[in-house]
Amino acid sequence: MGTYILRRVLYSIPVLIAASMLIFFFVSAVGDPLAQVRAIPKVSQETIHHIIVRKHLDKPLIVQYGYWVENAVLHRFGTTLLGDNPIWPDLRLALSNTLQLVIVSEVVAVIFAILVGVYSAVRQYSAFDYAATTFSFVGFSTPVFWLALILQVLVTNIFLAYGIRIFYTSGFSTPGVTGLLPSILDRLQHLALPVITLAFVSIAQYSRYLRASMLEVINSDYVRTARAKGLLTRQVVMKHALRNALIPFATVVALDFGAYFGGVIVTESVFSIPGMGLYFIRALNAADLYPIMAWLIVTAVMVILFNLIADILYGILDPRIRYD
Amino acid sequence: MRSLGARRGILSVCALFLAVALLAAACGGGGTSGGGGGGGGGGQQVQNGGTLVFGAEQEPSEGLNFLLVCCTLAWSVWMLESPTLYGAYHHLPDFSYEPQLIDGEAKVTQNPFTITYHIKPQAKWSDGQPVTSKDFIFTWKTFVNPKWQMASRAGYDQIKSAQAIDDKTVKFIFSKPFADWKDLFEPVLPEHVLNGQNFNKVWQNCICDPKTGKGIGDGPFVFQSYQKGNQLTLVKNPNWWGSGPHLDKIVWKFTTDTNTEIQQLRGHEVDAIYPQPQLELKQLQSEPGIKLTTKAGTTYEHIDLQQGPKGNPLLKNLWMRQAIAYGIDRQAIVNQLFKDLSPGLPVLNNVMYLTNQPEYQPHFNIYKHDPKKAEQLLQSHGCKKGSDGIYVCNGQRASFRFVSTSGNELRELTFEIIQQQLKQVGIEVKNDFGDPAVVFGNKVLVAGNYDLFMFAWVGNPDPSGNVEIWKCKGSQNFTGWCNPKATKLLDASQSELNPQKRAQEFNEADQIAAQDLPTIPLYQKPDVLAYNADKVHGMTDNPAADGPAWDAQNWWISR
Repeated sequence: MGTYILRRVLYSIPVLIAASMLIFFFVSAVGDPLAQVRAIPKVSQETIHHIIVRKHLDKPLIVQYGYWVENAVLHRFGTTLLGDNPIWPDLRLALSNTLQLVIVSEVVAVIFAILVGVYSAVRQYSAFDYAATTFSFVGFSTPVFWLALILQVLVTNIFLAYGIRIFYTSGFSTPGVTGLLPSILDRLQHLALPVITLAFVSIAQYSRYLRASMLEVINSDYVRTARAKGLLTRQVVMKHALRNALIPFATVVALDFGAYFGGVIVTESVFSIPGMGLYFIRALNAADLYPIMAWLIVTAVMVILFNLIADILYGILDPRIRYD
Repeated sequence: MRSLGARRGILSVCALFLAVALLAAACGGGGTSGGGGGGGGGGQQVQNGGTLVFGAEQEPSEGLNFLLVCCTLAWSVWMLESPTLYGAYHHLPDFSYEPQLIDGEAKVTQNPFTITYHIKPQAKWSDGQPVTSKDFIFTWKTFVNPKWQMASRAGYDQIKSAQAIDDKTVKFIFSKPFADWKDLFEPVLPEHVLNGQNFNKVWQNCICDPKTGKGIGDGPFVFQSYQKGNQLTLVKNPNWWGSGPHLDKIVWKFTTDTNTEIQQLRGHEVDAIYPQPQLELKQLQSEPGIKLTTKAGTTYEHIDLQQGPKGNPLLKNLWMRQAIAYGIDRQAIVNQLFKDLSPGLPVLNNVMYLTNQPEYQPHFNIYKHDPKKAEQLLQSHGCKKGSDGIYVCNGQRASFRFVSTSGNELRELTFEIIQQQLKQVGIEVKNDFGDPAVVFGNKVLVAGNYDLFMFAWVGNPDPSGNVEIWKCKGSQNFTGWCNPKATKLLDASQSELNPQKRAQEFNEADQIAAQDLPTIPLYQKPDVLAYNADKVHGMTDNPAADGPAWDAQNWWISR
């Protein structure tokens, strides 16, 4: 197992290097990082010259890439283009904010998806199954930004009609709230709408996966044998069927998890959550290559890590799986 | 091979995720103290105290020091400079200048050009230290220090020497006259706090005394805290030397989406917003309890017509540029875009002065929409209409690349209207929109690699920023237009100290620009200020670049 993980980690290094080179050269080729600075009225040409020298913008791209690698390895991704601010503290903050959002929404999504998926499979073609299928199609086809806006309008209208603040429409905290418990409650009130938005779409997707794999397993011989032995339906479903059905499900969830750490850009933008998605958009708008590269590496590491976790989960779910 | 535990493993993973999530939630930033008032109707008696929450569309995430090139967001000026750091002068909503830190007007001599400031005796910093001549001299030295990444050094680099006549009187001697001198020393920096500090770093996350970490300022409010990604808080200056302020705190809450801002204002999560003029905002006009005001701001949209080697050669002909100008119905564009949100917003007909300014003269109004005249111009220069309805002039189709920034709803709509209008006069414009980093970069705008380019200049009450845009080979002259007479006038304006003569020079240059047509001005983007009128009082917008918090000391809330 240890060897397997080590090998996977080693494999990922050339992938990261290739990805970083591609992004560096593509982004550099597209835009002038000082474009917006040049448009500032009466801008100091001396300052522009300093930035060019400090960030080696007058050097060939390959040399600039070398400087970037040095900064990424030795100085935690170095500093931003214009402000010369350290990149890592802001990126770490964005990652922790995204972490809160993604973990809560994925846990909610997984719990509901398992409940809906299993019950739909066990009661195939029942009213519940049809309702769940309809819900899934609605969930698949609902644009995230639209759902987010509708939820915002809904909670605002409830507040205006009844004076009850169930959830907040954006941000992470309310000014003036202090104390541990009120802070937790306040944070949950702020997280609720983005969590519902993300979970809504994920539940639709996950429940379909689980329903499909449960149906496959439920109709297999060993489940029929378990039933024939006189086991309770609950035991058959939860102990024998679900565990096998969870293998493809775990893959999807783990990969989604990794991808979400890059930021759920639309959700974070609409709800003003200063996570990885907003971080990336800001860096892109500023044409600041250095935070973009840092974001890319962190996101890629997360994707690789969660791919690895998915593989390990297979082993947990199915002891027959071997790691060669 | 090694098998891993089953159920216990699943439970452990789930438990770990939940624990991390809750821990992260519990440890997240707490916020600042101070009570915000609820709804409540407002009597007109001024009430003191309370917190006002203002939705801010942009966050200065690169740093709070708005004087540095990294951090010149307009929002930084509005949130931080206007209410916390005063200058020698500031702009009033009518675009005039008013002394702020100084007692009466500064004394100016012509030969040599000198400025003498008499600092208000009562002016002091929030730590109780007086504002003195040393602060003014330190500000000048900071601006010209090549180590600091100042966004602009204009004017400061013409100061030869300074003389502290006494603690409250300071004189600056210039190498040559600098006409835009009223924009200098806006703001003044605290010498006793910043001397010896690295100015590139010291105000990255606060506007404070780096030794104590306490906010510093000479305005009615001072910086208190900054929660990155969330909010920035100002508190009442304990040593404020003017009238007010009535509020205890102002919280600037960062909200990046206009639709979300609208819901936040409706739901009283914020008390006021100052958003970009998006079309969705019109719904607030009918919302009970909410007041929405609009004023023509300092940012103006225009279409540049490229005359350099990388533009379409047809655009080198004045008659072609005129045909385009006559073919575009600018009034119809303004009506279509802003008839609901900002009815009565005028078309801009000058590229040196804005419609709000007394010096404004509408030179570009010679190009009123006249499709017949546009076609006559083309026909009289030998252009023949092709089978596709587009004219062919000298063997070349009258078809142009129209560049602008993608993702901007107003610009996309404007382009569609212009495309239709020009098609009717036999001119084709093709959408060549791109990402701002690309189109504003050195391969498109800076290289003059476009035919028509629609974008905005952020103006200023003083027109001196236009000199480099319109003079021959100016550092921001991207159109390739070069008129020696206009250049002479613009150069002369830089050192002309008589305001009337200076305005005349700018207006004459503008008149030449209107005749030569390197650009077609469209409109000033409206500044939109919306607030909960049942709760918030004393709030007015200052469209002259100082933003909504220009008189934050007068704000108060019903509690």
